[in-house]
Amino acid sequence: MEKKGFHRFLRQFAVLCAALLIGCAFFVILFDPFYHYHGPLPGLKAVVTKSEYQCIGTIRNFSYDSVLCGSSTAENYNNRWFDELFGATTVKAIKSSGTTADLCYYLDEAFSTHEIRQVFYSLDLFALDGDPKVNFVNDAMPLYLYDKNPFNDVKYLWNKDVIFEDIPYLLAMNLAGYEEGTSYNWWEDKTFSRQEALRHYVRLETVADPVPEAEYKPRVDGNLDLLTQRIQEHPETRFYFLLPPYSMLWWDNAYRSGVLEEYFYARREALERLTVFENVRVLDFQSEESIILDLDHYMDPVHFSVDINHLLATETADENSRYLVRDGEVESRLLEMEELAEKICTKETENIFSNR
Amino acid sequence: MLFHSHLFLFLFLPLTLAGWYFFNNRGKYRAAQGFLIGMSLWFYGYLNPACLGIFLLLCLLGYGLCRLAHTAQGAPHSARQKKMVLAAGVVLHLGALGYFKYADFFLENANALLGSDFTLLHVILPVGISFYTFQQLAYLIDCCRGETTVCSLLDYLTFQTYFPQVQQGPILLWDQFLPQLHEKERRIFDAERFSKGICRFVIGLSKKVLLADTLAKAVSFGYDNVACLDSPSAAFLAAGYMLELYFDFSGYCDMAVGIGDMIGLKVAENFDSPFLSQSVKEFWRRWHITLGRFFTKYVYIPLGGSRKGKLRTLLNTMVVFLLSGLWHGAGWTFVFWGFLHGAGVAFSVLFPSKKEKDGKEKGRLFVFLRQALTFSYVSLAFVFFRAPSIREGAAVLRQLFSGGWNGFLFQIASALDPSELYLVTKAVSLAAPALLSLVHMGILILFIAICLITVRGKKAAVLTEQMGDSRRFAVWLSVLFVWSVLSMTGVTTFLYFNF
Repeated sequence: MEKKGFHRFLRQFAVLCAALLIGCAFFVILFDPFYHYHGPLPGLKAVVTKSEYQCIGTIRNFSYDSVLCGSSTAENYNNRWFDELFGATTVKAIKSSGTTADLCYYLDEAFSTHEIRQVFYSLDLFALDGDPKVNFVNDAMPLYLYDKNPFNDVKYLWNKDVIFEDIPYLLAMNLAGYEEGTSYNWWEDKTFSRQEALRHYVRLETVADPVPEAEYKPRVDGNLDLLTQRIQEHPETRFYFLLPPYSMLWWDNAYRSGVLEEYFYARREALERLTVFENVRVLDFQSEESIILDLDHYMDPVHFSVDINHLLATETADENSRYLVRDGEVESRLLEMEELAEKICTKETENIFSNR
Repeated sequence: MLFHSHLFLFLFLPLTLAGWYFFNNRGKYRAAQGFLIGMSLWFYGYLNPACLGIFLLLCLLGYGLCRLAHTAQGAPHSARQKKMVLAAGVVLHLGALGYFKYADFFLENANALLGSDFTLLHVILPVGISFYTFQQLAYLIDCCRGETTVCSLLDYLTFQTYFPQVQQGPILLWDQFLPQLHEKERRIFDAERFSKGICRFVIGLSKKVLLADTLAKAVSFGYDNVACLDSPSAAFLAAGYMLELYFDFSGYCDMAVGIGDMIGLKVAENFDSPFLSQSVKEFWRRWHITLGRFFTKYVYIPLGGSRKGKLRTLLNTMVVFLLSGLWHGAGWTFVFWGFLHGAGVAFSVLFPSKKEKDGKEKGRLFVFLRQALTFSYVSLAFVFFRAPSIREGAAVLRQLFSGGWNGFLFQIASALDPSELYLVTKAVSLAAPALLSLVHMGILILFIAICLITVRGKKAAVLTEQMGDSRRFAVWLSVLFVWSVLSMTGVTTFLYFNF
């Protein structure tokens, strides 16, 4: 074979590789299914289903004035409910099993890129138990979507999953009439019933010793510091903290795992420290017996049906909601929950499990 | 650094090639070697800089011992001095390997055996230590034997740090590498050699990211659910892992050879169509060739090889394979794996095939049956290479021979899930969900067929040698390259990375 021929071969190979790689990158930048560079293309809806990959992009590049923030208990909200009830344009900042530090990372991104009128924050008690110093942005995540390093974007631009799965999915969902407000919703695939909730609950045989206060206090306090810091830094923003209603199975588990006192402490501190701010409204749904004692609302001890999400959204918009924690009501709310938890652990769940 | 990373492909490799040819074109050969050493150290230390110090220290001490062996040549009591140098070298290299790789293994076993309570050290295993230990030791032994004179420190470091082979071999012997450093034509850019290097690299890259990593998804799913296995799924697991390991390691070696060709300093071949072997003995002549050659030259032959009768031959074979097992990993699964291969080779020695006896082949069907039997045996033995414990490996084999069927193979098939066929599987899941598992099974069968055609087809070295310079071939190769690049995100490290 003549050397000249191989010189030509090398040139052709280099040009073809460059053309194909540039073509792939252009294709991904154009449709941008993770919204890393821009919002949805004109005429296309925003299809948002993968929080780890899409949340950060939507927060940075979508047009909105309100943030709906939380863990899996907030995923089934429909953004449209908040848009209609509050005259807002809402984007979700979701991290499944997210801690307060995780959610604050998203909030900081939102505040640094947008003027935020309202934050709807699903305040999970277990999220107050996370490490306040560490958030989820680590090597296990697609860091190329989170950092500002343009070089590692090649992992997004030259990614066969994005080209063969995410872009076709985006286009197919647009054709199928995807509803944008349902971002990250998963309730359609699940069954919510007493039987299903009980199937997902493994009751501990014995009751563990309570976790000492010295162990959890720094974590809870540190997480509430994170929240109060954001509230103080953004007085122009109204924060709505929603305490979601966990089922009685969840409270039973807390009691039997020895963390009930910790959650009582977290509730006390959250209500006492958050309700003092002018720009904060706290709504406590946790002691609503008609919900938490009725296991037909649940698919497991924690996750409730979309109807409950809708109720929470509607009540949040009601200035006179009975769930709103007003000045001077903190002690009575705390006492109410503590009495209910005692009733659950000594009577309600005992009735269920002694008959099984 | 990994060959199949963006950093390597789009920064490190172009920079290294540009620098290498830049210095060589100007006749600055020593600067070119210095540059290559620098880049190799960057390559080696990229993932864990702490290992770089250990590697460099072992290189420098190893070179010092080679110098001492050289100085001892012709001196009074030369033989005794060389023995002492060799003993020091063995202590240095095998001591380092023993400490970093086997300390916890021995402590664990001592604790189990003696009821003692030695604290485990949990030392970090330097990448490639098993490979560079053998390569350095081989050179020192040859220096002490007087088979070679000692080279310059620059040549020694170029040889030992050469990045295409530093992490996972192939284990190079001095006579395969050092003479190349003094062949000036190798330092001149050669378009044909360079093109063939690219072709070989792309074949290796695609074997790794398109075949090995896709198979790995199904195999890992199976090994994560050993309790669910039935006969067909256990059979898939054994054969699937064998193929995965082959595409993974031979893919790496193809890339190493390809890079060697691009640079002009050749890297030794490590595979020769191993699944065409008709006996376990032949398999080991075709699989991880450079390791087999090391053990043959420095362990098997000094033990007496096949010169001291059949029994001694079998014993020597078993010693080599037990050591080979231990070399692969600090665990009893690897030792047992070595034993099974030793037994397989011993069987081949006792009952040689007609081809091994008189060089004549029997009919095609007979050859195919022998190949299938050999593949089956080594696949079963490699179950213990993959399984976390001998008990788990035995569980896989138990399921394999149970004769049961519970449909788990359909679940394994669904774990394969190649994104290239996402549209097909998604469409079926929406239009005819009942057919989805059949489609997954079809994809698995198609994929296995591609793998088998690849292993029985022309080997990468031959394909590369026969490559043309046509536009059509350039298109084919660039599509394969880009497809592989698109598949690199989220890929695993090489299986041989920690050996």
